[in-house]
This record gives sequence, C-alpha cells and structure tokens, in this order.
Amino acid sequence: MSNRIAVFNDGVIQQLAAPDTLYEAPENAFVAQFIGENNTLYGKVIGLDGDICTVEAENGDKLKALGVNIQGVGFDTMISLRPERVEVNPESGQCSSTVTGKVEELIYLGDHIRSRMNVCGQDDFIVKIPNSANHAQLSPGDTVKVGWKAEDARALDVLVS
Amino acid sequence: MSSSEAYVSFQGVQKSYDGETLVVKDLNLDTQRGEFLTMLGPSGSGKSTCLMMLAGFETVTHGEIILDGTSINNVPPHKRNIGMVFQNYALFPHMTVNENLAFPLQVRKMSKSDIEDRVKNVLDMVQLGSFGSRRPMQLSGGQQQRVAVARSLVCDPKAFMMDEPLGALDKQLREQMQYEKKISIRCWCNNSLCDSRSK
Repeated sequence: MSNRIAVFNDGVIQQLAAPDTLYEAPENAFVAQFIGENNTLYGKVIGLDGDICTVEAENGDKLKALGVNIQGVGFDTMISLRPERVEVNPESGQCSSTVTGKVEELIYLGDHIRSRMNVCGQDDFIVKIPNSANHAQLSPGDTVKVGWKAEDARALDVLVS
Repeated sequence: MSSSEAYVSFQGVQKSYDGETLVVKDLNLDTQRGEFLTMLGPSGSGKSTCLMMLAGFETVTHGEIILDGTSINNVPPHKRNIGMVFQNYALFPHMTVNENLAFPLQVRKMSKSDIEDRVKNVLDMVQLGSFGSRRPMQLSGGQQQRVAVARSLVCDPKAFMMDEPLGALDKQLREQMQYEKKISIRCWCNNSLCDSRSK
C-alpha cells in the first residue's frame, strides 16, 4: 500500500523500491529472504554469458540464473527462486533449467498444494502447485522434473548468518 | 518548490546510543512531498530509531535531517510539527475523545471556537463523529487507533508517522484496517512516513 518501501537491516537500507520491485527483483540475499518466501540454492558460478550465469549446485546439477549480485566466475553464490515460479514437469523448451526433484511432503492448502522437494541435494525446496483444472498429481516419494526460467532465478550474494 | 525536491531528507545520518555501536549507519534517504513510505526490517534494524530521530525524541549522532528545506537537528520535538501515532496509541485514558483531540491545540493556545471546529472536522474525517464524549476505554482497538490518528493530524502536521500501525490490532481488524487505510491515508494527509514490521 506504499509508494516505496525501505528494507532495513543492521542499520542500513538494504533496498529502497516500490513493493512489486522488492518482491520481483530483490538486489541481495537479505531482501530476497525477508520479503515473502524464496527458495535458496547454493552453488558456484562456473560460467557467465551476458546477464545469465551458469551455477554448479552442490550436487553437481548445472543451473541457469540471472547474475544479479555475483562476484564472478569461481565465486560462491546463492540462487533465489520464488516457489510459484517453479514448473513441475515442464514442457520441453519452456524452462532454461530443468532438474530432478523428489517429493518429500505435500500440504493441501485449497487454492494450491505446497510441495516440499529434494532438489539439487537440498530437501527444503518448496514448489507451489496451483490447484488448477489439470494440475500435476503428486505423491510423496515421486521423482519429477522441475524447471524454471533463468530470469526468475536470481544469483545473489551469499548471506553470512 | 519543485516536485522532485526532497521533502524529508536524511543526509549521512548515524546514530549510536553507547558511543561505540552504530545502530543507524550512514542513512541517506529522500522522500517526496506526499509520498507514503514504509520502513520494513527485523527488530533492531534501526527503523524505529529513524522515526524517533525524525520526530525529535532521539538526537542525531552524525549527519542532518531536513524537513521541508530546513535542518531540524536542533529543533525540539514540539516545534517540528510532525504528527506521530504510537504503537500503543498513548491516548489519555482520563480524557474523553474530544478532550484528547483538543489537548494539542490548547497547548498551542488556539481559541476555543477554533479548537471546537478542528476537533469536529478531524473526528468526522476518521468517521467517529458521534464518539466525541466517550473515553478511550469505551472504544474498540480499531476505534482507538483512529482517535490516535485524528489526534496526530489535528495540528495539521508537516509529516505524519505511524510506529507499528497494525501491530496492536487482531488479525481480522488488521486486514480490515489495511484495506481502509489504503483508501483513507491519502485523504487524511499529504505527507506520511510509516513504520511497519508486518510483512
């Protein structure tokens, strides 16, 4: 409901922007985690082509992401990805990164099904599956393909906690 | 004054309570006239300290705060003409709603008839016109908050701030006020700065 929001942490404004910009385009890992829900995937930048970088995840999967706040090839990064921007069993060509996910847990929430998956070796990866007419029917233990567009995955600084 | 010029401006502002740790580090923030800005962050991140420095309840350790073209670093709180709604509203419990609203005007030595006019106007604005003779305890939480908003606007402030505006309300009321505020705040005041921890 504001014109702009100033996100504070540690006595410093981390980002000052309109609400939709803060949600869609966080500039650092703190803002990405503080505003709304985000998946985080840790890895190392192994390639850079314009704005798009290639990140090798901890399990060896290679992911495409938008290089927002990275130090360069060879450095650690944290990919931030909204649960509603992950596609389950995407059609070929729809996503620039597609990896295997194992369904760990499903929570039925009416308008969507919240699915916790093991993706890239991390078991806290959340996918929101909209309860639309032909949504994917999943069961715990299933192995599925999950994918996303490179521009929805934001490669950011690694948050030191 | 051009519309692009800053109305409230923090320039290189720092704050330390103990002389060692900076709780606000080199804050540079410009807001426009009429802008509605929200400060968001975990507790201890410096939001409330910034509001308190703007209101004048805390001193600035370093840097400058400008309001409408003038540095207010050395202006005491009651001369800054800034409206503030506190988290717990801080209404006077022994006074009626009308008396609560009249108080800031009496302190400013306004004439009795002017006070009556202003109190009536501001109470109508928050849609509590028929509640003037009640005491705060005879109102709901949401109504008390509207009285607190009215009291902070009755002096026609240059800037308007709310600390944790929705924090003390229950969930249902919070959602209702969120919707109402969206429409009303722009009508209530031209200049606002808002501090909220709620996402």
